[in-house]
Amino acid sequence: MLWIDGVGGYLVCWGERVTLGQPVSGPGSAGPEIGIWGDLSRQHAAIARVGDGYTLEPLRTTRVEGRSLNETTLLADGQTIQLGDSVRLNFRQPHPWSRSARLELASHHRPQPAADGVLLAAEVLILGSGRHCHVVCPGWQQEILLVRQGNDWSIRSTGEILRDGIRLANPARIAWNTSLQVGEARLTLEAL
Amino acid sequence: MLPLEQLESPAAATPARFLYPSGKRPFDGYTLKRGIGHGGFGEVYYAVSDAGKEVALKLVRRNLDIELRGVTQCLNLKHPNLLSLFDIRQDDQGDYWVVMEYIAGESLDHILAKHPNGLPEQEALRWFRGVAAGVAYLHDHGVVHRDLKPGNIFSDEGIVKIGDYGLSKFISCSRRSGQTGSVGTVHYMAPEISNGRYGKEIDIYALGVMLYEMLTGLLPFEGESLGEILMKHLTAQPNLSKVSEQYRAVIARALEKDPAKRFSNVSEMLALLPGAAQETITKQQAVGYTEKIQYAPVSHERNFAQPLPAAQSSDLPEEPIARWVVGMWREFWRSWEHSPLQPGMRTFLGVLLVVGLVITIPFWVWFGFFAGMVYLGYYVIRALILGLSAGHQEAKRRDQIRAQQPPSLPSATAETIPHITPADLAKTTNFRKPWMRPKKQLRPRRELIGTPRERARDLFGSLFLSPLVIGVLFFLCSLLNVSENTSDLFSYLVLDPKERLLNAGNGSGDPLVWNMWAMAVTILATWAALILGKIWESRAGEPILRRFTMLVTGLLIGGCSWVLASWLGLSFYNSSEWRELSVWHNSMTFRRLEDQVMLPGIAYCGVVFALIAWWHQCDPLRTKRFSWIMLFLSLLVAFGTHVFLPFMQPWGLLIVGVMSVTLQMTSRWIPTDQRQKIEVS
Repeated sequence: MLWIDGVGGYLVCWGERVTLGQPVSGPGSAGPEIGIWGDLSRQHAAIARVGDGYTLEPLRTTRVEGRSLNETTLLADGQTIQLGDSVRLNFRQPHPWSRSARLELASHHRPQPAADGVLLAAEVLILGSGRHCHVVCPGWQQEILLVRQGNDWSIRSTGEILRDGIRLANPARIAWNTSLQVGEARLTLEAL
Repeated sequence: MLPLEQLESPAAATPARFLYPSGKRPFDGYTLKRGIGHGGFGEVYYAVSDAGKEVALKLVRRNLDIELRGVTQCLNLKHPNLLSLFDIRQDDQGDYWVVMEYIAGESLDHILAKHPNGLPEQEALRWFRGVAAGVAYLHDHGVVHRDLKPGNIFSDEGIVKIGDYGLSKFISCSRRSGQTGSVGTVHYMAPEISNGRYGKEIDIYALGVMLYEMLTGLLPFEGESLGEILMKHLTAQPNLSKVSEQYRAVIARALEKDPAKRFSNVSEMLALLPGAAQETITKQQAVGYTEKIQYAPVSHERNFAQPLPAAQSSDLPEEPIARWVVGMWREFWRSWEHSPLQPGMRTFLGVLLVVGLVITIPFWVWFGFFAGMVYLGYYVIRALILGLSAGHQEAKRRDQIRAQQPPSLPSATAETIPHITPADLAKTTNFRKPWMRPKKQLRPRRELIGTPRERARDLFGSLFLSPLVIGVLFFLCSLLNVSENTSDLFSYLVLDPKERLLNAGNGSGDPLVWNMWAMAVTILATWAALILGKIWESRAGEPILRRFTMLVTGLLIGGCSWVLASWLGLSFYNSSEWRELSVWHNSMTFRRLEDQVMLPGIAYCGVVFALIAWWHQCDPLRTKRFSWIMLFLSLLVAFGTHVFLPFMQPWGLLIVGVMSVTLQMTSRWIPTDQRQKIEVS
């Protein structure tokens, strides 16, 4: 989970294939990677990273741009996915050079844990004020890159990176559950 | 994606710094996740309770007492269009945290940024009605928001929510003085804030600004600098040409510089919006917002709207025809004032209308006269029928209501919160008109009138004074040459006694004697009215009984005047004027000449006494000490009566006029400001 002060909280997923569905509260049962509190099955659909793009695999009633889906389909930037009767998501792959993507909840449903969006991270996540960023942060002067290597994340920025007031190398490795001050911004990666 | 508290100008906004990092637990039960933004008083965080409840936490660090008092007042307010406040908690360091509802939806600020040319009309109305319902609820609970702006307004699951109320007792000075580099609040600030006035009118003003902004995407007052914007709020007129016509009147009235001229409450404002009467939900369904409930149940708005028609109707006359006429007139006047015509065009039309009326004045005079006479007859009959049954009870009821009116308390917010006049506003112009005029309560009539002893003293004073006033008035009338007869009085006093004797022989009698007679009759009539008025002043109402008493008194006075005239050797019949005017002349009803003159004359006295409510003219609680309207109406009634029941003129009118003036001048009058109760504070 990525928390950015003044911007929002984002659920970060980096598996090659993630499932979407109704979250499961009890332990031990097979819940989806991305839980959405909606009228859904536990495994409602799956999104997989294939090459430079993403495919959507319908497990239950799924529509893309209003068309009912029967087989795995390639997703394009800006398309609207509908799961069940009411859950709607916008699929965004805003940066042409990055394979990472973002899912926005277009209906009033919310993911579990509650977040403002879901990031499907390939190798790099770009945070900044531009439209091409994976996380759009209004008013930011800088851009921040979050780089993933396996399960490790590091951060790269034009501004200096501080942890508890101590300056870190740039790029710096991100420790879980620790706030980092990057230039004017502050963010935290929380392990779930 | 959605900061709760958005900085107003995105260009100037920099990522805000927050004191607490993610994962902190300032107090038991809640874990901070991220900073959201900076509100009116401090940082706002997104936090999750141990059980998983999402909340917004506001850290209150400055001006502790005042803010917390505000929040405490609002803690239990419940309205779908208000952001819920859950609790106030204290952390280890003594700082207070307000636990609030977290809103995942976008703020109006964001929406406006996405629509630089204004929102679609239906969408704007949806937002506006939601905000208005919330603000009406706040006002109804004595809370003035004081910081209404798009950044404080959100839409969550389709429901419009107002945030930051109760915290914004002070318009955050620090923000304006540049701490965050934001000047957003200034755009919604009513001019009277410069005087430190924070009544609910400032919320109405802000609503007006937001409506303008939602419809056009522009602010009514924009400028390069803070000072320029403030100056425009104080002096400039908003340019309404960009707003569609149906909204101009609403916005213009909401943006009045003088708070007293604005809508006095939100429901008035809503009532003027297009489609106010229609069922709004169905409208929105047509535009495709079907899946969500849009804003507070409409019934809420109706609740606030209800007192309005009642208040309007209360100052309309009871009588249906008069009410219709007055209502039509007001309706016309309102539509005239709010008409979309150009000012020049309107002036031209007004002048045209006045000229037209002046040209056709003879017609209007006669039309007015006959319509008035018909109405008068109708009114008397109606009053007779209604009054006989209900007059007495009505009077009692009114007195009771007067005594029972609850004391009006000044609004709590206005009293408890000291105001800060922002330094940059301090030197601006004053608004002299007090807009929070506390409603005053009148003392009951009985209490105002005084003891019987005082009343007797007043009466004797009036009785003594009235002949002097009457004498002076008669003399003045003779100077003004009101009639031939009275001007003779002047000549009589000035001229040589010999000439007087010469004049005395001809005509209908000695003018001095005529004057003496008229004065005597006036004094008699005035005394009668004064005494009766004094008896009746302790109570209002019972009009029929009073008019009947007056009729009898008038007939008696008429009789006396006739006896007096005969005794003085004056002859009515010889007056040429009478002969011309009398409809009874040569009639078969009265055979004898004396009857033809005497009976209508006496009847005139009775009818004039009964038709004119003389006791109102000497009522200590009359609206003005001296009312020209009362004098004019009395003369009008007298003339109308004279048409049917001729009386020696000019005496008939002169007596009535002098009597009206004398009554009003000599009887006691309690100034309006002395009629109020000592105010409850």
